[in-house]
Amino acid sequence: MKINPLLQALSSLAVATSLLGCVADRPYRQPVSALHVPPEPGKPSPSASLPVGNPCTEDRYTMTPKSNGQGRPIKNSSRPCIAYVEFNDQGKQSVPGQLNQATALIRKAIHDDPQHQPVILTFIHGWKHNASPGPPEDSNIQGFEHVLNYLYDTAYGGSDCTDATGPCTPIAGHLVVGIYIGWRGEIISHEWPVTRTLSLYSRGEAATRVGQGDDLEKALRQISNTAHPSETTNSPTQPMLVLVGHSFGARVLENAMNKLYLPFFEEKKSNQTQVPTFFADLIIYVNSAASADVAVPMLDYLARERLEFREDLPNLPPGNGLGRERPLMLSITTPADAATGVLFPIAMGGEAILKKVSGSLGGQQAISCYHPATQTISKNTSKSQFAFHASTAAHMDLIQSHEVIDLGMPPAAGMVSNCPAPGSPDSYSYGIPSRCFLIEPKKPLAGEEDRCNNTPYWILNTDGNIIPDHGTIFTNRLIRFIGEFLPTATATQISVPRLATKQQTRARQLQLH
Amino acid sequence: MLRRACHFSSAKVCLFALAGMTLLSQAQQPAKSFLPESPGAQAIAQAVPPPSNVGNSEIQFNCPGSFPSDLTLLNCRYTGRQRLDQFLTTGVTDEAMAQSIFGSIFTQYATHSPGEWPQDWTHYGYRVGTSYAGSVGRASAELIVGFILHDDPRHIKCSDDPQLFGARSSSDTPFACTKRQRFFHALLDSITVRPSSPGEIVHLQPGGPQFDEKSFRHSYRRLPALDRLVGVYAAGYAQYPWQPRSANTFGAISQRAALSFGTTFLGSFYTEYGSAIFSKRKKKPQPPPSRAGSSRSTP
Repeated sequence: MKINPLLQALSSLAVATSLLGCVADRPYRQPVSALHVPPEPGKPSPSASLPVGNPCTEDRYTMTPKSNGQGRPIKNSSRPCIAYVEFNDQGKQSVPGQLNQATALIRKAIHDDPQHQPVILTFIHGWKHNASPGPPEDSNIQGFEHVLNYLYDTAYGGSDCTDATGPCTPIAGHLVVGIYIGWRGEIISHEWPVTRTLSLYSRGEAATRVGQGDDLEKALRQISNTAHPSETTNSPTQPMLVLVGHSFGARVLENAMNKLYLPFFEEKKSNQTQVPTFFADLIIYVNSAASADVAVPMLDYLARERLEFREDLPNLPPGNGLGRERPLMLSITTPADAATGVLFPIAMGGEAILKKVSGSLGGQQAISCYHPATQTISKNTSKSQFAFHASTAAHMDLIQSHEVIDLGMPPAAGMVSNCPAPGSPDSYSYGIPSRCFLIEPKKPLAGEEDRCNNTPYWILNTDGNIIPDHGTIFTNRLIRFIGEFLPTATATQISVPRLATKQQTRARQLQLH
Repeated sequence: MLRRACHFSSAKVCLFALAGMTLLSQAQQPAKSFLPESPGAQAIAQAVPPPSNVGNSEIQFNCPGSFPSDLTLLNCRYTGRQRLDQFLTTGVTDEAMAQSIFGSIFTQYATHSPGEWPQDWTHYGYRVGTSYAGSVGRASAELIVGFILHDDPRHIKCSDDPQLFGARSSSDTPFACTKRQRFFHALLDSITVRPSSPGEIVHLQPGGPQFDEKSFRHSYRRLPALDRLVGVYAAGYAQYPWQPRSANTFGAISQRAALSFGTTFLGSFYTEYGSAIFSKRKKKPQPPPSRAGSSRSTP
């Protein structure tokens, strides 16, 4: 068959130019550039990366005058810093020195923070992202920088006006540190959108490999050990460590947590006491692109062990663990996320059909459900393995733990803090300027007496006014929403919730009464 | 153009061809609405009192089509880099190639145009080649004209259109649109663009002394989409050297230009209605009876 020369030329052009779209498999942040000071809001970036010896690692912040801020570090003198830890396609750490730099950064922040309680935010990006400094810098890094700056400026800075009689005083607040975990989420550049899309399955597999790899486990363990050293486990104050994974990054994180956390719980169980988790204060999966079956081992374990996670009740000795229930892990999504809500089931459904045909997937998925009222555990087999594989956890009714109820009313007097109070101590309220929401334990599904998920692994489907789509996650609204579930923090203290079995809590409550 | 196409959603849309290339090329603007936002709200430090401006009735206008409180938005301008990305993705790289390859099957077997070309491999090659040349021509023309006119060709939803600010308001958006308005807005949005000059994020306070609704609307005024008009004709004329004589008359080129405009038209309607089509419907739980108390509880 004779091929048209024009077609031949076009094919050659297509192949040649397609190669230009490939993204190299290499680390982007060598040790000397692994630390980075995000630009201040509204100001241009001084440079993509700064060498070692920058304010992230040097003691350069100055103290406020005694009369103005009681000798706290001056704002802007120690802006948030980011350390990068990168992994290759096989899940191996790309540059070993990066992890040491990250832990050194955390140690320095703990040392420098006036209360030794910095906020350490660890982020794992998703598909089509990496740790590239650009230009332009990867958009997830830019978003992460904005979040760190926002946390520093609004949550941990500002003015303390509690003293109604005197003038407001500046609060230096806690230091903020970011750890950006990079992996090869992008193999085709954005100029090649169709080819890039075809990398879906390949990147999904890579995310699973990185998540199940020993190097990520080691890195997260080291970050946790540095942030929450064992000598501070009984301290009511410790740094706040939050781990966040987005999309395929959540798949990375969830796989890593299955590997890390289950032995950790076993270790803690042997102590037979209420202990702070001190692994991380909150683990968040935002718009996770992991199949619901990845969540099953963790949910099963937490249900079987009847674990719960509670804050201290004020006015009682620290460590009482009798306050409000908090999540240990939080998986959130939105009905407006078409990627994981509509398209994920199609993509994974195709894969699930192949697995079903090959015989590796079939039958019903059993999941343990704990019922606190009767203190019994039941096995729910109402959903098939196919359904668990073809849906994400947050989009699956059966394992959702909470629901976000739109009260359909604007906050009183326009104040977001004036939304109606939640009716029970374990409910939350949340407001945006045009809406009030209640976050309540999910009502049982039709035909059920109780919700299945009563564990500290909270799974909820939020609202399009909180998360508008799959990718828009670096927003004030989402940070505030997540902030509702974090341990209560003041300018001087972050309270540490306690992990215990429900029986332990009940016994303590009875003791108290 | 595909600023947002890096995200999961648009990519999967493309993969499963749920809405073809139009979806992909329109996915750069997420479905968002303008909602009032309090800029200085508390994040984690719940016990630290909020700044004095928390919870006021200020409307934070980010950019047309953006989500309120998006921290990553510092500027609304349609930048040169975005324009170049649009040129590359829609006119040069694999999206254009795929459109040419699959579109040519349609023109070869369904419409059989041009009629002088038989339905064989050689002329399929010609069809692919001319179609690709058309894509490059259109994208190049839009790049050049758009660059000269400094326009912003991104589609926006009716409820995001600053032109409708203050026209009608509801509890959740000051830009609320009726069904009829939405339809005509999608129609209008396909033939008009906006100036890209209003770069800075505007913080609106309706009725406030510093807010001038008229000048605000003017800064986002509609302009005729000259770049699209020139672009679709450029696509027609870019095929001139290869097309048979009968297909190179002004009438035939206008016909191809109209067909080429169809993708823009579909894109505008996808922007208006796409988020509703592809969002999973949430079962609305019954709100509990209103409770007394006006403050957030913090146990």
